[in-house]
Amino acid sequence: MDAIRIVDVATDALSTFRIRGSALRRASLLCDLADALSLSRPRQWRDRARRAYQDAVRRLRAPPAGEAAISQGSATDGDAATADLAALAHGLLREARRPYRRLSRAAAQLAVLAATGLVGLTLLVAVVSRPARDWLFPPDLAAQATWTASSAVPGVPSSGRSPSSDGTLFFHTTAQDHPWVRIDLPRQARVREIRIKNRTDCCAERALPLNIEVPDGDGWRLICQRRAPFSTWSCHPPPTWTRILRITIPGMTYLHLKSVAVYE
Amino acid sequence: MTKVRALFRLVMRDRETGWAFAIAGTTAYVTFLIWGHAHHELWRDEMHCWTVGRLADGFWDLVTGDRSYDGHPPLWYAYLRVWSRITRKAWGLHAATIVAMGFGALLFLRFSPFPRPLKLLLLASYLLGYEYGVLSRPYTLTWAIMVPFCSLFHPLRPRFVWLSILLGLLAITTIFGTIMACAFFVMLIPLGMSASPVSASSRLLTLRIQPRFLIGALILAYALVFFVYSTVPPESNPYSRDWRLGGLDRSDIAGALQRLVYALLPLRHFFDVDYWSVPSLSQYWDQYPTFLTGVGAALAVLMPLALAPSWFQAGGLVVGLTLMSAFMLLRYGGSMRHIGNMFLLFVGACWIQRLSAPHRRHTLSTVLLTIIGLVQLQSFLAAVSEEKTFVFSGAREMATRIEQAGLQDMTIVAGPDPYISAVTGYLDRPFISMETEEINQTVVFHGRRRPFSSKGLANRAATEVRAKHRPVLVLSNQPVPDPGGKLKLTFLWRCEGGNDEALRLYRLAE
Repeated sequence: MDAIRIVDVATDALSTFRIRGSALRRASLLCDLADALSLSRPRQWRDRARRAYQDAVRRLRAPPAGEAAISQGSATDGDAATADLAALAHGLLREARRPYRRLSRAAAQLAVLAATGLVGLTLLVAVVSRPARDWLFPPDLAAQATWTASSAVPGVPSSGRSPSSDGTLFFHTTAQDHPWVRIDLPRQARVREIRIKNRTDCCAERALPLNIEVPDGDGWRLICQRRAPFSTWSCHPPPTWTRILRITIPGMTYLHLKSVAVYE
Repeated sequence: MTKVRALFRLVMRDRETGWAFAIAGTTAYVTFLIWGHAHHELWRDEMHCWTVGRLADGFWDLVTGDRSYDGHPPLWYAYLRVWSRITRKAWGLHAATIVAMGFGALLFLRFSPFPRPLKLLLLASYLLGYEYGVLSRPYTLTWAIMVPFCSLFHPLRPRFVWLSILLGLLAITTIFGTIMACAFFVMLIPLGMSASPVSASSRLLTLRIQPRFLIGALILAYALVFFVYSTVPPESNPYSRDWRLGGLDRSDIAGALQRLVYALLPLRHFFDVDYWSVPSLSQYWDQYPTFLTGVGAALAVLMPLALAPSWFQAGGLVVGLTLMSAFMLLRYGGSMRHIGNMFLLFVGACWIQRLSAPHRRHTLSTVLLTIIGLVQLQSFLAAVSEEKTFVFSGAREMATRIEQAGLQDMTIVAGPDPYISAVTGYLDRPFISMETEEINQTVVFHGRRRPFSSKGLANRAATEVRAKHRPVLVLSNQPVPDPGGKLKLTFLWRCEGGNDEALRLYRLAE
């Protein structure tokens, strides 16, 4: 099996040198051949493969310096010469790859330059233009919104402005069926993202499943539903034109959240 | 004589120097896969991953969202999500599977150091031809990543960083992929670490670790941490039992050995509708239980022996097989798709062994792989004939009939959730669940779930009709009773599946 492999590679290498093949392919084949040589135990096959290898090296148009000496050396002793051949082959491969390396390095530099320019230009536009800034970094519409909860435990407000809190929650309903909090945005908006932060000190699992709904005729239409535990959940519904959002849990439970942010 | 010998050498060639054979073989393989997928109706767990990937709100949602309850790493879902950007229809899942398996086959035929007939035999095995080729599950990706890893493996020029990146990806395909990644990393150890005496007289050893090997180890460690973070469900899955750490006995060892036989030598009856499950696999072997255990024991000895004396490769294989068996004993019994990973690991280990020691004949591994391939060919032919004969799930037919009748935009109330999710996945429509308060296209395996009852389903549908004053479709795999109260329940049609989906469709209206 081993012998067949070596001879296969050698034959393939020789035919490639004769007919066609880039320097990279030729060097790569030599490399394979050298590897096969260094892994080969039966001496007769190794010698035969080495001869094929030397023949292949001779056929290279511009053999690197030192090739002749190594070829002579390889005729005398097995392992050392094989190691030299392997080193030569790897050197050839590196040489052959050099133009590609240069090309890829130049492409990488160009890409970095282009990316830096693009980021710089974007930041510049964002600094000088408010619409561009709002488009790139949309403001939180809920910061100007009012909110109303379906109920409130003692000591916690049931309505207010700006649905967020520096503490652990901004509202806390009593245990009731389908508790909800309603967010009234300052204007009609095409809502693309709603970001909700859950209470983190305890009881985060109560907020499951969590529905976000918008008015639809006499009722409400579900636009997002969260079923897995979360600390922060960003919901991206299909762009929805609305001024009112309702966050609710279908079931008998408490509802409490840390903050709600809404983006166009 | 010389011509015969040359022809024999050409046929038995185990090292390709061109792409012609690989492209020809892959073309035939992919043609079969397309045929297979055209005949295959997606089953619920195949469709579930597609639906979760399709509906996820971004890639991070795939890590932390509904998928987190599945107990599978997210890579397969992420892969499917990419495909779902091309099409939301179910053929995207078929295409994703065919592309992954075709890619794996191309590299396997081009770079694997097995004789050509053996390569073709292995591709025509039950596991690579059918279980991972036609059925669309994450194990497909395990194979599609294992093959590039083995192709990139070179004992004299080990590219530790690239190899470790592939192992990292392998580790987040499935739990079995994770085990395989660890097993393969064991096989890399002798290339990246070496020990030599401090001096000729000293008994102390100096350990040398290549820096890139260390970087590779860190990459794999990161992937393992990510695997744990993303795979352990937030709560125990009601459909999967918990760890069974106590209560193991001697019979479990026999069970592990038997699984090895099922994985590598699956013999099947032709024309058995329940052909993918372990009970079907055991139909033949369980007639000879003692023989079965004996064959398992023989395989357990011969497989590492086929890799000897490369102790790290044999060790990696033993580590992998042991961890897989332990996982199946302690956590999840496993079906053919799970135990088949033992076959993948063995093929990968033999591949690496042949690259590491090309001067050897590898007679034992060739014989073992040939026997395994021949038995799997029988199983493959049985599976293909049965796939053509029986309807797999009935879901595609049900969805097609709903669309043909123009009913797909009606509200659907359905259950039990796992059984009907294949239909809603085909339809790309949500359903109202009776077991939860959720509206989704597929099931989320959390514990906030009420037990299913047909009566409860009828009542849930009745509530919906009364609230919205609109008729609804009721979909179930069980007969649904009339809810009464001035509502009219009409049976529309029934679609039979091969396993447990005898799907029924009703219309409930005021």
